[in-house]
Amino acid sequence: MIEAFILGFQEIAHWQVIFALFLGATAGILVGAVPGMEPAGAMAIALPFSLTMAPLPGIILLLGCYGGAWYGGAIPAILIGVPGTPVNVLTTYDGHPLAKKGEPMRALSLAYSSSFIGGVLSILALIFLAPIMSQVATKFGPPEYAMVMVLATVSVILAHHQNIPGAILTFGLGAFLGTVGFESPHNTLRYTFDQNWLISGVPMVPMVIGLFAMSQAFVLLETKQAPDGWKDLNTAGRFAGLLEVFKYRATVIRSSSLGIVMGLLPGVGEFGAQFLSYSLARRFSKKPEEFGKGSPEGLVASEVSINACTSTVLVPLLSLGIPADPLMAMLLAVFMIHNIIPGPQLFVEHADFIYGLYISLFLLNIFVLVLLLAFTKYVVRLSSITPRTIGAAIMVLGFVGTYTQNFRITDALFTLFFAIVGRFMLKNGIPAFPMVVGLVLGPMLEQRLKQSLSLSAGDPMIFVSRPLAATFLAFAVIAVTAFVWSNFKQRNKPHAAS
Amino acid sequence: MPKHMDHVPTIADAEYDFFEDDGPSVEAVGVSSLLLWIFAVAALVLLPVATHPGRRDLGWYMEPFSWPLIALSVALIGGAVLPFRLVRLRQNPGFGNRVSEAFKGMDRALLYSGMFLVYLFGISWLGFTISSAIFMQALYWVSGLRGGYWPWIALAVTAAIVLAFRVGLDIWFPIPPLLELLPEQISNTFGAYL
Repeated sequence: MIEAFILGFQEIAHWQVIFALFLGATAGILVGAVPGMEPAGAMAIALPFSLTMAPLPGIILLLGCYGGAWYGGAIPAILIGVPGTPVNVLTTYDGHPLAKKGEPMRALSLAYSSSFIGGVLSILALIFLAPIMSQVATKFGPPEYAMVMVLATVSVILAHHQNIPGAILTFGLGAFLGTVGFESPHNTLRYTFDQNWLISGVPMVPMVIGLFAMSQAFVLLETKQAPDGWKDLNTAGRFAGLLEVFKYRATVIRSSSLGIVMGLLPGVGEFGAQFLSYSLARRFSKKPEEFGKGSPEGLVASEVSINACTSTVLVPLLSLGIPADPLMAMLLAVFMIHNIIPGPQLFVEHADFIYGLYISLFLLNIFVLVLLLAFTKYVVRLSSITPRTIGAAIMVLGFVGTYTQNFRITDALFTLFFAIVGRFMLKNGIPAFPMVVGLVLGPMLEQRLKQSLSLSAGDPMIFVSRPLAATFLAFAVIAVTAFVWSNFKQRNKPHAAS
Repeated sequence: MPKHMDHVPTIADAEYDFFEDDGPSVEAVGVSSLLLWIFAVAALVLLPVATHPGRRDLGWYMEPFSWPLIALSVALIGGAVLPFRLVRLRQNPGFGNRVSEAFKGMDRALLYSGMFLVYLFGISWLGFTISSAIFMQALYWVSGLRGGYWPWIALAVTAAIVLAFRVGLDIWFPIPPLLELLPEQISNTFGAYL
């Protein structure tokens, strides 16, 4: 392990890595600090840069955008009550009232230190869990992989419990879109209609940029008012707030544990973690009445849990090649472009890369914290940027991000198509994430199912006769049964009361 | 304590716009899923002509049509509730209005999409830099940022993008026909940046 860490240090001792850390951290913070701009947009912008870099700096750049945005998102959430990114919604509940009470810097530094602790614990969990998971994955054959994908699909669909039919519909469509193009073993084309640009299938990066970045640009272009900015922030005492987080040790442990576990579950991530963490923090607090009115404990619960997910979402990606959220799906594409294939072999063949990644993630958290402590005074002014200018910039940057992957204008047509579809779906409450999961997991699931059924000469009992595959299938069945049962009980509640 | 704290939210909660106050109506959800459902039906109808038959002896699961059929069936069966719920609601007063809510604001999104399409064609003819400058100005103008210093802001943002990606990263674009009209020395010099 020590040898691997030394290799990791060698890997990061390069100007490109340090540059990527700095650029990623800065871009992430800036994106988080501008309400309405999401990490997907930042990753779209950073994508062309990441493709020109070596694998580690390229990936670190994107992870910087991802992780930095959750930190930066706390700034407008606390100062103006508008979450910088959607996941910072709970930060507004206690952070903003605390700022209104005249303690904005205390709230900000408490948020920074909570995020930092959550982020560091998440990396430790990644270092501990990823090798274990990859060890387990070495025992996987096609049936086990197929059932893990079924479990991941179930997790994503159940995570959209407010609209399960919508999630199934979009997952199915995503999986269908994943079948477009070249097919093996018969080497035929599916749904290409003699169009050459469809032979390689529906590309994933344009889909993510369209659904999550450009569709947001349409909204921003129609947003007339910029939220009121915090013009003059007194940053005195910003270091005192950093230590305050240690007063809430129980909350930190509970929230980070929740974040770490929920980061592992595809589709659940930061949202499930922060809401559950906040609810539990309130339940176990000595001052629950202060929650929602400027409780530092509430702020800690929310920020720790958000950032405790940021590295554990990498566990299923690195060890199994399964993305836990749309941004991880985008990262998976970058891995593939750099010819780094996630899975158990990655830990053997690219140990230097893996340990370099761990160390870089630690450094990333330190970079972000230092940048925030040094430049918060200036970053807060970004909150008042006119949203329409951001929307226009995303439109052009979305094109650049799409184009640079394959240098094909037709990819931008995919982006445009998914931007329109995404705008329509998000506006009408149809979840878009299952579509991305379908596009990514669909072809993988097809391949693994074909391999499994070939092994058993078409006998589906192969999925229940192998212990690991049967366990994953059982988990999926239990999750669905528990969900149906709890829904059934909830529906019957009013009848029982009446 | 806000109302939505009573459930355990998930990623689904992320997928709403902070810039839009009202949640979608059941009819709006229904009509949008109906459109996706129709797309899935159309894809299913096209299945026999859009795929080629494989070797039967390899098993049904190896057939090229199998997986699109499974994926579309999952979509159609799993998502069937939403369009059928819409049909059930059609007698309710104000049904049409609530259905039309689903398309509210989409005209602007389509307008921006049309502009983006023109921008893509523009890149082929005028090159990335000139097209981006025009596109950015047009977006500002259409979105209501007119007069004053906005054109300069748009120009500055475009310049920053060009510097970062065209000059900094040296992203390749084919030389546009417009530049081919200019003397060779000029088109060679500026071709790398425009």
